[in-house]
Amino acid sequence: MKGYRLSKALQENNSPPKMKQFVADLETMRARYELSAEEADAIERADLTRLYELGANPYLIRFAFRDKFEN
Amino acid sequence: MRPEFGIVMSHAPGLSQFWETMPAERRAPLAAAYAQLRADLAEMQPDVIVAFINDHFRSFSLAAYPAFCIGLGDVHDVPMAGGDAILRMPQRRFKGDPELAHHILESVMNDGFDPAFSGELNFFDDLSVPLRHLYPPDAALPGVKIVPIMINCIARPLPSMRRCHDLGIAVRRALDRFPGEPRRVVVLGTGGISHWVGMPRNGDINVEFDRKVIELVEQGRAEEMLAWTDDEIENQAGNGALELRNWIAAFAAMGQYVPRPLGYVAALEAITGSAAIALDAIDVPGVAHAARGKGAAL
Repeated sequence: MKGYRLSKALQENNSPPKMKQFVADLETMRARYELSAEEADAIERADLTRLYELGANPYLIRFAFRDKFEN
Repeated sequence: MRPEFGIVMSHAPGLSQFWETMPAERRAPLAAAYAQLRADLAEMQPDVIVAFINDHFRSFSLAAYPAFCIGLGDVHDVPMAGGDAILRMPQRRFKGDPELAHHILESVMNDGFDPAFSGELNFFDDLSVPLRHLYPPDAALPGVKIVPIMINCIARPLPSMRRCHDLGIAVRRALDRFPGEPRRVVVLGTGGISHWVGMPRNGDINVEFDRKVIELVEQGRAEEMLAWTDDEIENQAGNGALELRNWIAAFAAMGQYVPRPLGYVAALEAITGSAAIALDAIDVPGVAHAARGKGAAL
């Protein structure tokens, strides 16, 4: 199921404050959610397009990175 | 019993978050539409709203995602805990209608559907934003009860448009067969029209697509949407337009109705082509307010 672990990580950290904490403790979170290096990197860089390409559900990208969207 | 009135209308967090701060020219068409719907509801005094809505990863996750889920709860907190701060609206506790909800569940199961069911759904903009505008929080809490029916519109693969249409028919049959005390029923379908949520095109609105949808509804041709594939819908109007399933189910639950488009605006603040359409029932004996609209009947 493409993007499952990534989507799970975003759903359980579904707001900008939670995502900020996630990135502050990236290695722990990467291990907890069994993310690939590429997935963790996309989260760290808040690369919204890459997250989408990696299969994260776009609704979950929106919620977790609400502060990174222009609108 | 049959639905006496129907509503399809867009939902988006921004339609609450930024409602007061939207430019007046964008707020006005929707404000007028919502005012008309409030007047219609005040005239009708419904007992229950059967609401076709969708989850936003607040009730379900990809660990398990149901195609359909019926809310059996005796109360519904709208919005869910924490949603009030995000959506900038107070949380209110609406009543559920467990007797009717259980009946609908069992009736649609007898008709070949196997929905999930829930004693406690987490409502986000899906139900909260429409109720904010239909029953503003500064007035007394209305006695109207809510029966939520969630349709998966966000985690593909989705139940087909045809299947959602058929679910609406099954819900209509369930209402017709209800053995309990008759209720005055409103059918609500929320979501759409065009919006790209969290996708690379986030923020776009396809006004042409939105107007086509409204035109099809107005002309009594909503069923033509059943032929649209999800790829076609998503490419033209974004993942958010897949929420038109909720509309499709509502149309089918209404059966025959006269569509009455009330307003549309490309609500940039809410990143959503936002519409509201009243559906006046035309086959309910003794309902004086029916068929006051214009347009073609299905």
